[in-house]
This record gives sequence, C-alpha cells and structure tokens, in this order.
Amino acid sequence: MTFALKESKSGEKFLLQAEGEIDVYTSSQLKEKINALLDNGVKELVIDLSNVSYIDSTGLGIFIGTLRNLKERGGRMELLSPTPRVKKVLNITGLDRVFDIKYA
Amino acid sequence: MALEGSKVRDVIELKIPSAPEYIRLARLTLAGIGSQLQLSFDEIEDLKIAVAEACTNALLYGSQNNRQEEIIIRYLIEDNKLTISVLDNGSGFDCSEIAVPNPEDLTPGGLGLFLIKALVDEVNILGCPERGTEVTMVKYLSEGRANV
Repeated sequence: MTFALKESKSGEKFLLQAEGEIDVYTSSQLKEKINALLDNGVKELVIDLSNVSYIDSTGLGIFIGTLRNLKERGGRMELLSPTPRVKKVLNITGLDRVFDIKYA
Repeated sequence: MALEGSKVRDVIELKIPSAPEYIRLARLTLAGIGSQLQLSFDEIEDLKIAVAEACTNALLYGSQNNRQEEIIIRYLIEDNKLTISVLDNGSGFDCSEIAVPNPEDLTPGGLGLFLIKALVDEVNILGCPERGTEVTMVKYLSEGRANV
C-alpha cells in the first residue's frame, strides 16, 4: 500500500511527514503514530501533507480527533502544505476554517 | 436499478471482501473507467473519493468490518452518465440525513456522506433490512463521452 510516515523533532514541535494515500486502510497507521506521539506528551504537532495525493473522511476524522485532543491539553496542530486535492477536500468539508493550514 | 429503456453501454461489477485493504480496488477500477470515458483528472479524483466513501460506509456500518461479507460495486455506463452503485448487507438510512458539517461542532465521523453528496451530481441511498443498503451515485457526462 502506498503510504509512509516519517517523523522528526525540532524543539517542542513534532513534524510528521505523510506520503501517499490516506484512506480507511492506511489511516490506521496514521492514527497509531499520532496516538503514540500524544501518549508521549507531544503538544505541538505539524503534519506535512505536501506528498499526500489522496485523503478521505477517515483521515479527516483522525485530524479532527487529534486537534481536539491537543486543544484540550493546551497544544496545537498545524497542517503543512496540503496538495490541491487534499485542500479541495478540506474546503468542501469546511475544515479549512478549522485547521491551522500553513504553506512552506 | 432501472436498466429497461435506458441506453446502457456497459456494466462493470466488482465484488470485494468487506475489508479496508480492498477498498482501493474500487478506486482503481473507477480510475480506469473514468480514463476510458475521458473524464478529467479532477473529475476522476472526485469520483474516487465518492466511491471510496460509499465503500467505507458499507464496510463500517453495513458489514461492520466482517470480512466474510461482500461489498458489490457496480459501474453502469450509459450514453450520458456514469452511475456507480455500492451495495452491502447493512440496514440502511435516509439520504435526507446528510447535513452540512458544522465547523464549530465537528466530530470524527459523519463527513463521508457529505463528501459523496458534494462530489457527484446525484446521490440516492436505499436501505432495506433484508437486502442491505444501496448507495447510487450519478455523474453526468458531457455529450458523446460515453461513446469514446
């Protein structure tokens, strides 16, 4: 399956680089990784979407849950450089107004 | 499905186990058919999301992740439209339940049906306790594209 995750840390900020397609199958890997980061006390999370070609509602659901979790603990989440296809899905669902979206 | 009287060119049917790893096949099949119909990249990508969301609903709510169950995806090519039906063995729900997501009160679930409705020209959901749920999505084609 065409999906990969890389993580790196800069100070208190964690960068998670996703690559490929985020769907009902691959999203379990994403959820597992994010949950591990949250369990380790991460409060600042940047998810790089510049190499994500496809996302569906299961991926969006993980982002929503993560944002809620971080906000409850005084943390923050940022979506970095979503591709036009991912941005379209964020726009349709109104999530572009919910998430902090930045471009590199 | 009202086949009688319509100008059906081709029917492609895909039957997959109700398991997450197979939903990609529904998207790939759609991409092949969309390419054959000379749909644009964005049209194909929109339809890929719609068919995957319908399959995901079938997987999560129809068969409830029971991989012994089947999901049937039927692609019906007519002169002026492509109709995609996704069938499962679940209990069904009303299409009128599809609501615009509220950005102030978002939950992790509930976005899939909204995405389907936003990305296709028509959507109809039929639920029958003994026959499962059938989500039918229609994409109208510009004149002559089904004849390529």
